[in-house]
Amino acid sequence: MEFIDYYKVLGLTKSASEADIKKAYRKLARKLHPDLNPDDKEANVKFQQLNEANTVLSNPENRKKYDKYGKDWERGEEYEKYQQQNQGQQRQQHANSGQQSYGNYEGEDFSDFFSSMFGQSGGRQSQRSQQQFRGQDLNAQLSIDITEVSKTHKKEFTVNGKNIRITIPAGIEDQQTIKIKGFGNEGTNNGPKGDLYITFSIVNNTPFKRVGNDLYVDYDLDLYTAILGGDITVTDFESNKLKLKVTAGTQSGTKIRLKGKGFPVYKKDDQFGDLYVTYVVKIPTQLTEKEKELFNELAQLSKIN
Amino acid sequence: MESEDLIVVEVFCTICEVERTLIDELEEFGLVQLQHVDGIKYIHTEHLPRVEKILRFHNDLNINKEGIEIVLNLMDRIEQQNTKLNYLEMKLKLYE
Repeated sequence: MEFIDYYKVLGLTKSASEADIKKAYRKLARKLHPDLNPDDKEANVKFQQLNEANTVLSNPENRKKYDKYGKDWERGEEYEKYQQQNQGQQRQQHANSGQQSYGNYEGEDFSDFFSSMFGQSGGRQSQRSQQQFRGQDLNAQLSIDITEVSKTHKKEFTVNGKNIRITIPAGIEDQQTIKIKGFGNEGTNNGPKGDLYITFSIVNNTPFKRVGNDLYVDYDLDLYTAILGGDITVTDFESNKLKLKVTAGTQSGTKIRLKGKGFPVYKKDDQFGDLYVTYVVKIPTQLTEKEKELFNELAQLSKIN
Repeated sequence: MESEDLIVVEVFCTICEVERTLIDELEEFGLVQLQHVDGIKYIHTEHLPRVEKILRFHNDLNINKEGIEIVLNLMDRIEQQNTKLNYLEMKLKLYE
């Protein structure tokens, strides 16, 4: 368990006054508040430490205890327990009354360091009164393959020991978050449960690149078809064979759009994005003598023309 | 709309320990959307996260109504920019 220097968290020294602590807390809270930094895990951890620091240092009794033990708080705690056991009931009562003053602390919001020092049942005045109402929301990450995402499918997984079976609509985006109502933590005071937010991480190992609902794929076009034109067969994402006509004189990098052959549109049945096929003309590298001869002939002809 | 999706404002205020007048003020200012049914004001559960966020800005950070509106607008704008950025990142990957 790591020692947390609460003064450092607030950017203060031990000599800070109550007003300094209040001021520093408010200033940092405005910067690190989770509502202002929704996707910043580092800021959320810092905000948690900030709340702990404020809880400890803004309460004279807590601050005294913290100042007394400092880095050696753990050993100090053990020593105090030893003293309590040996020096009679008076001190024991003092320690108990100290714990009662911590009130409505919700231990799970705090670090192990804080919980060990001030106990799971000790604590602070609730910073967020809504937590007495709705259960806390949970966040989870789910990694799925792009081939799974092309069709609406059911998936079963476990969050917080609970088995959850959800339907993942086709066309979900990478890093998209969906809300599963009522699968968060239990509410307090008979309040509703929190929600579960699942963020999808989509793994794509296919030759198709996805931009929104559109798919992009390269097609290696041989030189002769590019020059003379012809018929080719392109395979789409669903492995369907699509017959295409290549016009004579097609340049490398030419992009053609196949309407409705892209990725399914999220929550819109029978709607699909487009598939863009980019022709990459392949220049032959190993020519036979005969081919060389013919190319030379062509080169001469083009000079004449 | 199903009745279980609505929470009576008084109930919400009691449980969350929020002054009723604050919710009325926020509604009047246009920050909170309430539903009026037979003279009773309700909060739709879909709006709860936003209402709670507004209350946290107000209570935790001492931001006034005008400030909250600016913060929410700026956060919406950041979200739009992030969506745009994600799209452009995906486009950029085509050329990698």
